[in-house]
Amino acid sequence: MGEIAGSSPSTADPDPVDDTATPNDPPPPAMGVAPDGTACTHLDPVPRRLWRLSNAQYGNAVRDLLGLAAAPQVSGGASTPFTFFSADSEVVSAPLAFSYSQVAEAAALAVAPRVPQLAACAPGAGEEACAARFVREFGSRAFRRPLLDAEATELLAVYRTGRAESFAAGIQAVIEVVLQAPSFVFRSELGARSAEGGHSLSAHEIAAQLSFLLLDSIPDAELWAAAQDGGLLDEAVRARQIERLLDLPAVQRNVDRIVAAWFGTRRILVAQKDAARFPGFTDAYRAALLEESDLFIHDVLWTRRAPVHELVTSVNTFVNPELAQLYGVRYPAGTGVFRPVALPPAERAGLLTQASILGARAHAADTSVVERGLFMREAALCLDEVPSPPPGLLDSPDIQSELATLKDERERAVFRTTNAICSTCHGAIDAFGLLFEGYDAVGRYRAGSGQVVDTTAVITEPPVLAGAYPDALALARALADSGTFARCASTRLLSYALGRRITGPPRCEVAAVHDAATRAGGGMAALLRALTQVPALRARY
Amino acid sequence: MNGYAMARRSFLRRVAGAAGMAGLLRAIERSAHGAPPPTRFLVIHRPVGTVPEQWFPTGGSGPLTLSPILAPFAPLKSSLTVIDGLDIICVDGVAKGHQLGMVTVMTGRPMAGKLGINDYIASGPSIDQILLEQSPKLAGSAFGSVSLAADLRQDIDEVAARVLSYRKPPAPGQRAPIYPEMQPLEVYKRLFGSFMPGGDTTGSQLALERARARKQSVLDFLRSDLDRLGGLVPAGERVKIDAYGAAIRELEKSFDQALATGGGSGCTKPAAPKSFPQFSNQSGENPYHGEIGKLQLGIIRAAFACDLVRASTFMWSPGTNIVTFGGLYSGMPFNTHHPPSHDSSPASLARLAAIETWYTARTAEALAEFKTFTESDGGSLLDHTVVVWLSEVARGYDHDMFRAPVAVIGGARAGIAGDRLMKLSGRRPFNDLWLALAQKVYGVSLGSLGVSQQWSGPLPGLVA
Repeated sequence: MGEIAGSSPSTADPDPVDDTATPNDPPPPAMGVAPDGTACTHLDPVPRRLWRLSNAQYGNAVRDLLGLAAAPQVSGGASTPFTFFSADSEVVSAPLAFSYSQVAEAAALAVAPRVPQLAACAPGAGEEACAARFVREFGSRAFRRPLLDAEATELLAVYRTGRAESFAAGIQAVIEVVLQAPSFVFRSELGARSAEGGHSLSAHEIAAQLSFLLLDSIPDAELWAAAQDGGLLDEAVRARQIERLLDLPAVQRNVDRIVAAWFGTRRILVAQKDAARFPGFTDAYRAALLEESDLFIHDVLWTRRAPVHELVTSVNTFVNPELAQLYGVRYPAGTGVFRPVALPPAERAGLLTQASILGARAHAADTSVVERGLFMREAALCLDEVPSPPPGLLDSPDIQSELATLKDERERAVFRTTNAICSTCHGAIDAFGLLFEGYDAVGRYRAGSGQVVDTTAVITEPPVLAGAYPDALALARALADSGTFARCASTRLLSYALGRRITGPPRCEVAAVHDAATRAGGGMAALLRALTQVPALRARY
Repeated sequence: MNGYAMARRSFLRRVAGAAGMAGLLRAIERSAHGAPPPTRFLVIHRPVGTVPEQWFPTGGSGPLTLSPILAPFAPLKSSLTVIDGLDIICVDGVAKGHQLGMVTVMTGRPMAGKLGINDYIASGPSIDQILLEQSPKLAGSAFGSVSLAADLRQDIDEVAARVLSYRKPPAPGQRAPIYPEMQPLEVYKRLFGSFMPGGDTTGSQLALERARARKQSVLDFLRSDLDRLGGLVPAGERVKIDAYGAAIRELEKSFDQALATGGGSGCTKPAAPKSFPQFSNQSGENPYHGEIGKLQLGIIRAAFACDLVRASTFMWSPGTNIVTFGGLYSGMPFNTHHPPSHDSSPASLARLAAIETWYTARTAEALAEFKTFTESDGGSLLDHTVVVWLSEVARGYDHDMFRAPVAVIGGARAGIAGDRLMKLSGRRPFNDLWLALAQKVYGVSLGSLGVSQQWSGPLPGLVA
């Protein structure tokens, strides 16, 4: 039961049942029909769950609850800067619990001067009544739901422990406890029993779902109000809230971050390059490549509100002097370090040909057809994964001696895709990578320096894109025109919202989001509007 | 600084909390009764295997002639046993590499599947957790075990390459990794209590009691909240509740933790380490690598000495690391360790050997400090610690898993003689090392580990 007994919303379950007995095996996903009339499979049902905040979400939540200037940093746990979403299987380990306690304590101390504002006591009001009010308000905002009477009582006792010293110490004690409590650290998606069987998220849980998706933090004041009065159970109310949120700079920045994580732009920060061949590949240079990609993403999604496929087709980007040189364009006049340019449309297509991507998906001194092929499968096409090579294969003397005679990536790709064993997998990878042979290991356009490179390839999946392509730009256009990329965008964002990988057969929910988004112009706002109304988001078994 | 902060600092400095005092008392009692100190277990991992021609000592079984890469272990030679002939047996029928090797070496079992391309899922607990759970000799310390690392950056986000220790899986197919801690100061605070710099504080008894009450109220609410959540969640979510409960129990010990400085059993709270920049997403030079490793191993030493921990794993960096070395010698072709390692040219092998020698030297320096702590029975901490020095693959450039470059250091008081090369007459699976240590040092009846090709029996001749 997501709604605690004693609170208002009418979805509270009147008949107590043993809600701890969720079936261990998930019910099989139902079949359905997509908007275009084809058969589809619904998403795998998601169980009622506790979803631990990511370290970033924890820090953001503390910042927003207390009005701090910056989000405190928690250490410990599993996620790395490359993690696309934090898995719902994550637990709280001892080091993480200790880090939470350190952050909670420090945050409580830091806000000591502002206790009068945080626990705003009306003049003349009794101190303990004031504290009780603070406990309810702060506790419920922190836990993203109304407090149980038992919780309020216990937290008031915590206040009294600190009150022995001073009123401020009492309030600080409450803050310190709340910021490391399980109810703060875990998002609850337990829901209430729904009429159709299974469970449905409560209004408060919906608020948290929307806020952690769009803000990467706790619900803001308006979203909280819509949770408190149960409004978020209504589709129209949700739609209004989503509209409001999509205009917030913090939401737009967060969505930019999600897209960057989906493309793995941060991998350029750890890419290693041959210093002799590519001098100047410093940390500052890598950071500049990342900044270009960040600026590009924001420009496509929010400044121009372009259809999402422009992420892989637009030539409008932002360069500093070094990037201008890399891309072979003139560094334009203007203000600021990064300035808008239009790259030659015959040479570039969106994120796919940006230096941050091409440089990360390459070897130290040479390109990598395999890396770039795998990137395309994963990021642009949402194709299934290809398994890694079987044991002993890479070391077999025949393969080794053969590879040693080959002079470049094209020859190696031909070998891999014609060898009987290698081709079973590389047939699905290398063609994509070959299309990018026009760009060297740091992303320079090879033909720009007079090199003649064969950039043709024949691809076979997905079926709608099968055929021969002269280069990556042609595939990028086809990705856009066929809607394949936009559909992949819907898949990626739906995965992110649910914290679950989406694989396998075509999914009805992906088709529905893609269809609705396309009808509304194909922009990110349209995609998110459609996504956040998908019923599966709120259903749990 | 307000009264609360002062009182809290005072409390943690002055009051030897339950866990810390118990550890000291046990040590004192042990020596009073003539009981020996416990035999600790420490796995130290260095990445990317070795260059076998430069690692394995020459000659037959017997006294050790140190190889070029092993040369830095010279001051520890009398405590060093090198084993030549153990194979890491991966049975999962897919490409062997850093990820699969790491999980296979530490758990000894087949995998429970994988995520993505190479993120293999451990199907069982790691050897340190097996021993911790089953050996009475490793029971009783405040925190049990600790897993640390010097650098965890990788070029791909995978758990398998950056974790040594695993608890028992909560359900089939679900692993329970113990993610290594990277910041020495955070580990220090967690195990030894928060460090209070500066002079003595003058907190009154009342203030001390208030601070104690504050910490207790945190724990009480956490437990109460967790209990309520536990009553609401489906059965499949219980693993999170149970893990949190265990974390709260350790948190309580961290809260209590304060050690009397000096005297008694000679266990001294070490000086607090400094903070290091979080590198988690930066490339480029890492000038702190050696320093962080030294501090981490120093914390393990102190935690062993003060009986806060009896089992530990330390990872220098994952096999898929991006650590850089700033040119260990003039003309060193690449600075980064793992990315350019898949090359068997002489220049590449020389580079790999130089990096491994660097790791050997740093580890030797840290283990030399284990010799300087004298335990209650007159032996050193090193004599009472079994250190296993290993890597996740055998041969670096091609991930070959045969002839693992593994050595055992220390453990003299547990029956492990040093200054030895054990050159096995026939090849044996790596797990035979774990079986020998489990049965003969730790009294754990571990008769087998993994599937039949992964073990043959406890490695004879290692333990007297």
